[in-house]
Amino acid sequence: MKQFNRIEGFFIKISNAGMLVIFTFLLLTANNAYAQNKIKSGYPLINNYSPKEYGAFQSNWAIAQDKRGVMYFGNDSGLLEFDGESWRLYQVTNKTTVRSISIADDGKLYVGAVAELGYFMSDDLGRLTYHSLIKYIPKNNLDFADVWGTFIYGDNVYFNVNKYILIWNIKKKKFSVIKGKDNFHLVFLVNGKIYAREWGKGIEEVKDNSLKLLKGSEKFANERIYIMLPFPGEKGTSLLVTRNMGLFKYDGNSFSPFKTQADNFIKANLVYTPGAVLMDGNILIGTVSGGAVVIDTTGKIVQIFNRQCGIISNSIDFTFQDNAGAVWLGTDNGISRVDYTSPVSYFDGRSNFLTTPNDIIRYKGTIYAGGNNGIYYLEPGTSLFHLVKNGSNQFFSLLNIGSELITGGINGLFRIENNELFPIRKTVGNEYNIQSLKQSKLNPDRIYVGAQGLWSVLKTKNSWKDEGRILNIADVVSSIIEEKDGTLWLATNASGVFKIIFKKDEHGNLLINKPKIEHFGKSNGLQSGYMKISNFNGVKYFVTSDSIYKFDDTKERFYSDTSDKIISSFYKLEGKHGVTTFQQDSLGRYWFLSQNTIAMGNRRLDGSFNWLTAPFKRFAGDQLTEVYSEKNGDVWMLAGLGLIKYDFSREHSKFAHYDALIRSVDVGRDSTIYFGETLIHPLIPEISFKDNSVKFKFSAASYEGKGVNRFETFLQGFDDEWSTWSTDNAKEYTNLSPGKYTFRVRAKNISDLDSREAYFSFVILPPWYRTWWSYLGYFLIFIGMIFTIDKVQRRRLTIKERQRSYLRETELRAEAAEAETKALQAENERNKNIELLSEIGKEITATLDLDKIFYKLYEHVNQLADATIFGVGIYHPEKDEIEYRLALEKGKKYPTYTRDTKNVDQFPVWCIKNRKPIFINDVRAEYKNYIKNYKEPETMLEDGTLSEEPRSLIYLPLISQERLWGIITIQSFSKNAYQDYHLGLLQNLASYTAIALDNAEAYKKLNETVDKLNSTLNDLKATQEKLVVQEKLASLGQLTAGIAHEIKNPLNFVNNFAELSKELVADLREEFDNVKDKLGSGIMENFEDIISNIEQNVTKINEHGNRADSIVRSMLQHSRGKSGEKILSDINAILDEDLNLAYHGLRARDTSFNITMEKDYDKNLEKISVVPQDLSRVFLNIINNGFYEANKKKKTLGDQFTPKLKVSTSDDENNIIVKIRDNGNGIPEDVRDKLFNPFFTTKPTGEGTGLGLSLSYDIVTKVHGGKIKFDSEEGKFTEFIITIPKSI
Amino acid sequence: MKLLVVDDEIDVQFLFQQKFRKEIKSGKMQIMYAGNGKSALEILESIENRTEYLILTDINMPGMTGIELLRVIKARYPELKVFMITAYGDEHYFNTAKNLGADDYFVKPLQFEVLKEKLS
Repeated sequence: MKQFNRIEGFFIKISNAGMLVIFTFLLLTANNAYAQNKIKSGYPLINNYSPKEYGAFQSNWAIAQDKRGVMYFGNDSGLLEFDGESWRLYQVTNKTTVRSISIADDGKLYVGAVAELGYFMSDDLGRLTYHSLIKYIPKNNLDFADVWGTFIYGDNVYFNVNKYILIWNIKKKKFSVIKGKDNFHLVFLVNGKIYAREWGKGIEEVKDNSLKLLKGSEKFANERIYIMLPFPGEKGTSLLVTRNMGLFKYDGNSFSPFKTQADNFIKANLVYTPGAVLMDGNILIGTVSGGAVVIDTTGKIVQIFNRQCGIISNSIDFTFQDNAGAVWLGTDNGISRVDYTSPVSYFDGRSNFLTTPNDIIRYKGTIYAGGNNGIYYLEPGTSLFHLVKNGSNQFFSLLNIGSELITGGINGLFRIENNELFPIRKTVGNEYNIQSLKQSKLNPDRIYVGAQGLWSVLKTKNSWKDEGRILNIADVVSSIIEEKDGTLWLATNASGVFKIIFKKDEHGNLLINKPKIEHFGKSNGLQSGYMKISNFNGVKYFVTSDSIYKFDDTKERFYSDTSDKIISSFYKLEGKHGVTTFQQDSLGRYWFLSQNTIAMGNRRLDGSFNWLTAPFKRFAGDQLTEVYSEKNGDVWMLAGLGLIKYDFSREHSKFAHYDALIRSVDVGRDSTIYFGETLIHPLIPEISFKDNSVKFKFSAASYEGKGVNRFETFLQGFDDEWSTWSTDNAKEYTNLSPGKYTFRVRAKNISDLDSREAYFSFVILPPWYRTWWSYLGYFLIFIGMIFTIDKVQRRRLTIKERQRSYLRETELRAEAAEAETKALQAENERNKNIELLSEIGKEITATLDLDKIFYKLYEHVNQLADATIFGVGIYHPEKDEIEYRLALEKGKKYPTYTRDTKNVDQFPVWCIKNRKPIFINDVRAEYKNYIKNYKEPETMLEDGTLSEEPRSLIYLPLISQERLWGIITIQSFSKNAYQDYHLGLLQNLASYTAIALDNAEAYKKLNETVDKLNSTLNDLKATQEKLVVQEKLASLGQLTAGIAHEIKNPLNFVNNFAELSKELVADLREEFDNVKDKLGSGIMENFEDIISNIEQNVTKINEHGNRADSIVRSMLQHSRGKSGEKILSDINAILDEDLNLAYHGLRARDTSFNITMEKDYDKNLEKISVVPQDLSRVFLNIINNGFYEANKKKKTLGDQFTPKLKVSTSDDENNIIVKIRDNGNGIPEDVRDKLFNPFFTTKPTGEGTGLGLSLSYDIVTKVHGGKIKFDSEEGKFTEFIITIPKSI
Repeated sequence: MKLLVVDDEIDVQFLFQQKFRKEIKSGKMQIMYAGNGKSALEILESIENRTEYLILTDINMPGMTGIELLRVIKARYPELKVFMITAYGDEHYFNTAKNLGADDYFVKPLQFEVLKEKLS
């Protein structure tokens, strides 16, 4: 904000007569250093924008502002756009410098670049895009480089290049070209007229595509004119500024010279285009090397803006005043913005005020300010401060007494006369280091001097009488107030508050010597440190860094009075943050100064208070210590860097409305849907659901300060209320649900002025699965599903019906068939046979053994028919073969053989295929009925003889419940061996056989199922046991983890606080040591005792805390990992780690514990698949037991006994063997079979839960399928042997 | 250095006050405390010199967790640094916190020397 460049000051004492001399002097030397200080208004607030900040090249040739307030700059890199928060760069087609800009009413930005001209316009998405107009220029007129000027007037845009004036008619979209005899320099638009200066001619008016020379302008034929402006206040008159010939006025007829104070400045520093008429009626002129100057209409210099004043460069390429009255300067090294119309001005290093001010006063019309290196006075009519002579030390207080000006400082008391210091009383040592002066109201000739203690001086007619020291303390009196009765209250730097009560003599005069002195400090409720006392309205206020206090005389206590209307109304407004000053000025206004607030308050008629903070917010953080009001209400504020003056009379007469702007809208993963420029057609974009996060970037077209604009936002459709004010200029909303939204944003600038609102509407589309057509789809699908289900159900029903009817049919048929058979039998007269048959049938079906069945069959068939050849074949369709389980010829068995069914020329194959009997009494004759060829295969009988050829045969299919089991055959060597009833008989027997076969199979299947079930049952049992164990382990693990976790937190606190207490005890000891000589030895001893005890206790707490912590850690270690995962592990490694863990664990608990450990690991042990944490638990358990036993034995036997534990590993073909052996007292007999019982323990109550071995047993046997046993001899040793199979 | 410590355990406040008592006394350190994410945000909203504060927050807190708080702070005040404190066993939050932009990660029990070093 503020720039303070120091000059290597040389002061020049200036009087009015000397002015002229100096002018001439400077004319000869072209020195700038003088002129800049001839300003009476102080230095303004300046914002500088460096090329680094805006991200483009240094030079800025043009400045414009659009309707929204957004700033544009023609830069060497292109067109820069500034919205108050961030910068954007746009480029023309050939990426050249943009030399001139003009903004049309429709929002188009016409620019002239280098060999390029055209306009920028916003596209549908608000993106500024460049449209070149080069193609419209007649081919002959394309020979130009820089487009120096661009002006819009009426329907035309005038582009000014060296050779031509190119006039673009916007409506007609056509160029007309004006060419002079010679080249043009610059073109100007003044009061609706276009003027161009042609070299060798003069100034011409451009009218109707022709040039008309202005009379009297010939003198400018070869003189560069850089500025032509309407002369403020004089209608019809223009101001011209030339390079070498000075300034002129043109009234339409003639040119008359206009002399100004700035003539030499302008000439020496080379005026540059375009100049500006300011809103206050002054004229701004920029130069190439001296910055810019403001002159009024009489030619007087009002202000100079240059580097010394804080401008970023002295080379001004463009001058512009924005809609808020601020002056923008485009320079060759960045951009400066001057708060031209601000009521605030600074007097700091730029004014030669080279210190932090301590006090200020206006004396005889001149401002005097004391600081750390002397007293300064402000040269009247200027902004320059000078040091008063003879004072180069710290001065703290200035006082106007009578007609004299006195000051108190480090060196003593002085008076100022003719800007020179004369001592009144100098200090010898420290005693007269003055910090405060107070003129007594009771006796105006008396001055109380706050130095080391309190002194007093009395002014007599011509001299000063030292009245001596009233209060003698070794501290500085920093603040003095006097009550009506003469009582004094003093604030000191570190010694609290003193009250001085003077005795009075008979006449009522104060007796200065030996007053009554009262002291108030901490015990009265007052904090030591910084304090200021002020009194007004009869109330004393004690301002300290934490609060404002009043004093209760009766209680003798300082208290913070919350009922005090002034203070409470201020606190309500701004909070208590570190008030440094609370005072009332000469106009009765109340001032609060705190670390970040300046508030000026007025009492309203109704008694309430009106606090004003907004105007001062700009510099509220500048460490202000005091406020001094002038008669006209203007205030001087003492700041860290100098003086700040606030001219109420210069307050913004018109406050500029400004807009909040939405600068970009991004959706989804950073895809921009709106780029921030003005849209012709309003945009309400529809955003697809997958991109349902929206990010807004916004700004406000208010340029006071940088990054100080605050914003509040409100997303209609989402937020419930406006957000809090924040300087964040972006807002993001994620995961928006479908719907219409409007994003609204408002800004508040540093002066608390609200902006106009900006808004942006958009729609979030529902995801495809939530759109109307998808819903329709769902509905259709739903309908479709109902239909399908219905259809399926219907079909099922019909199928079932059909099946049922089929079954019934079959049943009926079966019944019918049965009836027929019965009828047949009845016809046959073979009742006996029927009985016999049924008996046979019983026999056959009584057995479940296939072979028995067949043999029984044969036996019975043989009895009833000629079964010289008998065979039963089981058909295996999957193998395409018939397996003859029983085949006999003449009573001799064939060995079991098979027949291939692929050959269809076989009776059995026919029989199977057709499921019908073959009944032949003459094979040779009747075979053709069944098969094509007949050849009886030759088969070897059991005894080695060959079989004979049969003549009669019967083949029957064995069918039960539609299943074809195989065939049965009887054959005879004689022809016509069989009758019909034989067939019938055989059929019956075949039925029984088939049934028997069914049964046998069913039985077999049943057995198989039973076996299967048994085996499954066993498996299940084993798994269940495994699971139970794992469950136990897991829950135990979880439990320990859970407990450990919970305990960890409180344990941490215990340890931390214990540690802290240790440290504090050490501190206490130190403190104690410091004062122990002051206390008696008895007290000392007690103290020492108690401290040592505390120390000890705290150390113990710490120790045990750490112990508990390590236990918890090991518990957590153990419960980590998923139980049950078997991984290839190194048993030796697990064992060794457990050994160490157990050893150190036990040692931590019992420092007396010691044991010798022997390790015998088989180095070649292979890794096996185990659950490492579980095995570890087992080993740990057993090792711990071993340690415990060995240690126990040692405790009874003493030093002669060395406890030992031996751990060894080995393997055999299938298993890994781990042995853990201790030399304790062994396991007693009565305990041995209970050892692995859960909860069984031999340890005394409290030590061990007894769960260990039982769990270990389960882990080894059930989870790993191994074995665990032990070997022990009472009094001698115990050895545990754990066997784990290498593979499960 | 200025810290804003967020933890639902009141004792943490005592701990910090004592651990940094010398720095607090000499003015080198200023520590503010919030018992939950919501009040932490309120504090951040109301103070003027917000950007000077480093934020130290526990992860396991009722209501708004440290992770949620981290997310909100990084969205609203992206320039603020946020450090996570976590209890033993919360390592799975490490990546989440890192992705949300957490500036560092401390595990309880807090080693205050390491903390002092990393914060300066």
